[in-house]
Amino acid sequence: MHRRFRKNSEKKNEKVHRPSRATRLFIVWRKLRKSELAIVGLSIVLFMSMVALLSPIIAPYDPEWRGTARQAPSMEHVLGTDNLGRDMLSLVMHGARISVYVGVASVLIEVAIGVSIGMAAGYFGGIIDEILMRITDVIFTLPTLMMLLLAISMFEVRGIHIIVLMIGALGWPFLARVVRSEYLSLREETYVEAAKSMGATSWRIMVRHILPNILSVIIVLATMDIPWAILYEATLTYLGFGDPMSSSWGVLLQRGYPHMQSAWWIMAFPGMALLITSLGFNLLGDGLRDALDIKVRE
Amino acid sequence: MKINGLKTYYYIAEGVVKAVDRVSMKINEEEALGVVGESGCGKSTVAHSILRLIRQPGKIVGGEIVFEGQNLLRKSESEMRTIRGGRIAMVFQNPTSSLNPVFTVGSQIGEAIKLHQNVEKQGIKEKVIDMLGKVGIPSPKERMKDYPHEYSGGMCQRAMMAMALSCNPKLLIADEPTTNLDVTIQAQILDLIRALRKEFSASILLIGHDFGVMSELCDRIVVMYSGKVVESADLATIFKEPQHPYTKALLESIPRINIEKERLHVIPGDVPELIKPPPGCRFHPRCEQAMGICSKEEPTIKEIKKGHEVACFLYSQ
Repeated sequence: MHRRFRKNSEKKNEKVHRPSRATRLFIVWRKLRKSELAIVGLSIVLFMSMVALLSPIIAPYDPEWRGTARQAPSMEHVLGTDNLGRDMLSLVMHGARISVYVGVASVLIEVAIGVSIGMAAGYFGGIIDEILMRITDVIFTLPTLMMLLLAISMFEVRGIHIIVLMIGALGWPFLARVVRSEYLSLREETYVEAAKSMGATSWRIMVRHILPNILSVIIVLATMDIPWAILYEATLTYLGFGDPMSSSWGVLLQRGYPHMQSAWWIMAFPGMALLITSLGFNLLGDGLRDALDIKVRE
Repeated sequence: MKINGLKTYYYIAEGVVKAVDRVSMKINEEEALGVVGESGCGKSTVAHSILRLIRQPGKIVGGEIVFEGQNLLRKSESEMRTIRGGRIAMVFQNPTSSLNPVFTVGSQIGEAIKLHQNVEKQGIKEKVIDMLGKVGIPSPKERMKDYPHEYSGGMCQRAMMAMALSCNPKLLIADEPTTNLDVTIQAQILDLIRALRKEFSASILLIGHDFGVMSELCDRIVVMYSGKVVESADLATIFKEPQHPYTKALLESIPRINIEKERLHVIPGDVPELIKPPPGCRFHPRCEQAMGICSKEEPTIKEIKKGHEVACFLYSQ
């Protein structure tokens, strides 16, 4: 770097040799690739997403197809069959569809609410901060599962979309607090002052100048919240508050529970799918934290 | 540009801090004015007050700031925004943290241009390259795509200067622009400011505590102490015939290479707490020439010679 910086009296337009400019996304990828765990995480996430997308095509059986009940894993049924004789592998593959959707969609809602509230509270401070944070505190202290049960029982139709909406609407307080504290410290930065001194509006400073600086924090937290959302949906379903029409991993777990002693595979495989997916998102989130930080050199 | 009786107070739990108390100064067109004083004397607060960037719990409570014939303190927030960056720009103390770490240097300068000028995309890019070239960044076309952490401190300050000057402001406020740079880079930045001042024909308000830096650049000097102006005169007068005991003491505490001295002169005591400043003249507890009246009454600023104003009882009789 110092070699490149010469006094301006020297050849001013000298050609600087440097590798061709990669886009931001490519740089992130190049850094992500260096971490083995992150790649494992990314592979799991991509694999699960592919399974979710393609399950109607690649699943060996129709999820409603019935054969002999409670068959142990074999060549014919790789993960065995459940108590109704359905192919476990196909069920788990179709379950991925719902679980991945629940995870991603509810976290998107959570991020939208949490970031807006944290941003406004942290940047403006004062009375706005006071009001928004008290609301956040209240929601934060409420037991999420109880609230979810309560909220969902208010609806007559127990659609999966309503569950997603509710998980998102109740899951944002932690993110809001983190975003608020980031804004609280970043609004004191000289570059924020410099942007103000150049005539930028508050909105512009919040969204254009500060938000990109904490994007990595948000992405990491969001990625790590995805498994939580999936688990909440599974829990709700397990307790009988889920979408009875869906066959998410939670539904499979619930159905497998009574047969845990005699046919372990009915519960074990959906559980493992849940575990591996959680792990995948967590590893990816961790890897992204380093890859997204432009100050960490390659 | 004229500041009249500016008062900027900070309302904190312990009381009111009068960071800037009835300060007046004037910057003529294309003039460079230096404001000197110890840390905490209110010089930066003056700079921030001009752009109305005083943050809570601070507040401008009185006076007027007249720029191009209009009082900035009466402007609406949106009118202020067109002035910030457009008519008055500012350069800060920490060049490396003045640039947003997640954007390229070029895009940040481009954004400043976009805010104030109606230029299409290609025009902005050309202007950015042009500005970076003017502030002496080598191969600006390539280096505009760099992130701030790929720049050295001096280059960051050059880039800040490019951003500040990109919209041809009439006044450039430089708040200790060289404080965090090493001496050789300091000299380069001062050279640059001098060159750019000619090219852009802007007035400059230079804030600092270093008489050496001031003498490089300024036409006139205002000395501040504890939220008040104690002396103002042109550069040569301040150096040759300083009148206020504080100015004298400040000048004596500069190490000189040609005068043999056992120890460097220091001003005894500390800057007074602004929350309860000493009664009378705020400098009297540290002043070697203090008289009875100094602790009772506050001296007013008086012109003792043309263009030379002092606030001290030694000269009021």
